[in-house]
Amino acid sequence: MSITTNNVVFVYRAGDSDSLEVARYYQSLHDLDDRQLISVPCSDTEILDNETEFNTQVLNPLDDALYGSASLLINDEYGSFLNIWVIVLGYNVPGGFYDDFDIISSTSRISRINYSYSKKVRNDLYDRKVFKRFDAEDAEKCLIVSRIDAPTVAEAKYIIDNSEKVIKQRFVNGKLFFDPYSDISGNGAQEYTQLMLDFFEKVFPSLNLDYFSTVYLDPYIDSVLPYALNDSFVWSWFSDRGSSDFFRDSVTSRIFHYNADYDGAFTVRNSLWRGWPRLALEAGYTNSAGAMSMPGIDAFLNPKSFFTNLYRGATIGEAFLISMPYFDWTIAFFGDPLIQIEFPVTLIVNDSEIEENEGYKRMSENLARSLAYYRFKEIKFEAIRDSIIDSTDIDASVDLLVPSSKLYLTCNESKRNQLFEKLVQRFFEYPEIRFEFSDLFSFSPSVNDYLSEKGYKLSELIPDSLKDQNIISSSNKIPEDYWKFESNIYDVAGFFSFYHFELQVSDQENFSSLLFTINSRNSQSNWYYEIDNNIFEAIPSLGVPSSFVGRRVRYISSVSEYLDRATIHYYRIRQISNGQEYNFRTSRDIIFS
Amino acid sequence: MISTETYQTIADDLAIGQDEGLLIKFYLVEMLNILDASEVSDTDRAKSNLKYEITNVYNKANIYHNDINTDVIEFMAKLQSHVLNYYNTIDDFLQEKGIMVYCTFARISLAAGFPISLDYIRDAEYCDLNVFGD
Repeated sequence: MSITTNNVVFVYRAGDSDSLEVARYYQSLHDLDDRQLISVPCSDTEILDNETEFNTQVLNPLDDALYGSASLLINDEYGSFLNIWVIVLGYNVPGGFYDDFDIISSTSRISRINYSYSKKVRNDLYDRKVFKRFDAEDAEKCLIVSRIDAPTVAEAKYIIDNSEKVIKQRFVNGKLFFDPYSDISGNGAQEYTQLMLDFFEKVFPSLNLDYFSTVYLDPYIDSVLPYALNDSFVWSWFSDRGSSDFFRDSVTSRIFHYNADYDGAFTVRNSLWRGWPRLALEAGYTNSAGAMSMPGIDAFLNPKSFFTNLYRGATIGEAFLISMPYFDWTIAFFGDPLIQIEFPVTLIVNDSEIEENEGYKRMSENLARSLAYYRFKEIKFEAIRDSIIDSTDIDASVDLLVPSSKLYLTCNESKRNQLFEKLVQRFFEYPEIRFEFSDLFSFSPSVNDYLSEKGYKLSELIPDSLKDQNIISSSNKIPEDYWKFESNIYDVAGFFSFYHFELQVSDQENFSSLLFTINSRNSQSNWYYEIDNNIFEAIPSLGVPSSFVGRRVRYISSVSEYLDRATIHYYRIRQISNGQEYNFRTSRDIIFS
Repeated sequence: MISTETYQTIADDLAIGQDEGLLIKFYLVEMLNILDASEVSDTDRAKSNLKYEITNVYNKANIYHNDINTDVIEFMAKLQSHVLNYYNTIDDFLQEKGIMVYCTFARISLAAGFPISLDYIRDAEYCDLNVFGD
């Protein structure tokens, strides 16, 4: 079940009528129950001196209100609580606390309210590759937290007014103002620019938005956006100070502004502060994010995961959470986290739909498996016949030689070819018909052209069913006895981890004897993980980050590990992280090469 | 008479061959599932041709690769009849030779008219002699 207004609480400052006024304003927008407004006895200092102060004034009272025995959020007579997944910290509630030279944002810290403070700890949900809406399982790890705060009550209410407009309108058609270049040098800066360009190339076209982008000048010049007009999004770096005249009068809904810099979110209460989050909210943006103190380039938000989640239907709070690399850190999130929007073209994404070429490849493997099981049965029936032939008993031979030969003839190679020949012909015709007029390759491409173009290889068992077995060139065939193993990656650790994998292969169902034990920690050779949908890349020596949970890991046999065609083998794999070996998952497969 | 070793080999190979042979059809169904989930229109000629042929092979495999296939039952009848030249019942033979058979073998034997008691069936608690693998 996805987030609803029932999953939200709004936190205000106890004894502060202004803070309560803003809370009531937000309550009325989302029709929240009175129990969903929580007061905490805090000071109106924006940045508290230290963690202890923060815990005393904000975290502990909030924790009590959410989960304590006197909580008003107890939902029924059994003592279960309302599922609070979203917390909005209101007007005059502290926005962070000092920890040495760092300022830890309250939104980042409260996201992990159920865990002890651990400075700059990795966000396990960061950049997860398989989309899903935030749910109860995610809420076990972290909550979605934002701030609605401003120099004045009126300005805080203005943020809520803008949210209301977007909630009613929902449709977004303003431009993206995009600045992927900075004058910062070093690998981290290059990587972040590359990440932004990658987003712009791969994700942005799906949004069907217009854009304005800066261009690369030279490494020493920070290209800057001159202004924002008719904008709905700004994603930029690095010019860290702006002015209110940057934002020109616009007719479009302003949704999310992010400038990757080092201290833009230091304050949103000081009207003289020229950091971007405050300026953006003042200019009508419903949401913004920024760092309260030096976050490090590795902590900048990820535009790919942010926009991917947003266009798949997540709330802006979810999109922010998935795009933020660290908790208990300096990045703060502002505005109403419940906003959901629609882009100019409704994107219909069907996760169960299989891309045609991928489908062809998978069908080829299943066709080969079907043929391999036929071959398996053939071998067994042949063994039955041979056992009679080898029998030294005359009576048994006389009674059973003919029946056993007949039995074998029902399931021999000729019968197999007879059964599958037409299907294999149709299978080979498929790409020829489908891509007849494609400009990928020559007019009327053969199945061989198709396989070569795509780099796919087929099991020899497939063309072997045809009279003309040479129809597939040897370079498009999988070597006989080759095998590969694939498994999903699971969230076994429950927190951010790098996973390695141990695969055991046996010909015994109970694994009483092992043929191979292969560990990706010892050697990454032949190990791959699904870096993008159906695209595999070598596993790095560090392992596979848990953001790839839901994607696949693959092992490809080396020549010395080849197994006999049409034999059944058992596989078990376990994930390993930080020395911890998790449970094996078992499967079986036939060698279909 | 057939040796214990040969009988055991036949009993095991026949049962395992039959059981695993059911997966011939399973992976044809998987192919159909992939085609159904494909982004390609159902009216596309290549797709409908392929779908038609997979279904055709499935239907044929359904006849030839199941536990009540005539050829398999005929072979079973010959095998068990041979045993009955020397024993009153198949159970007597299995008991004396200490042979245990798989459920699938016992099921085909029953279909051929030669019942086998649960006492001689491996993992008999999981064996339903009236359910045929299809």
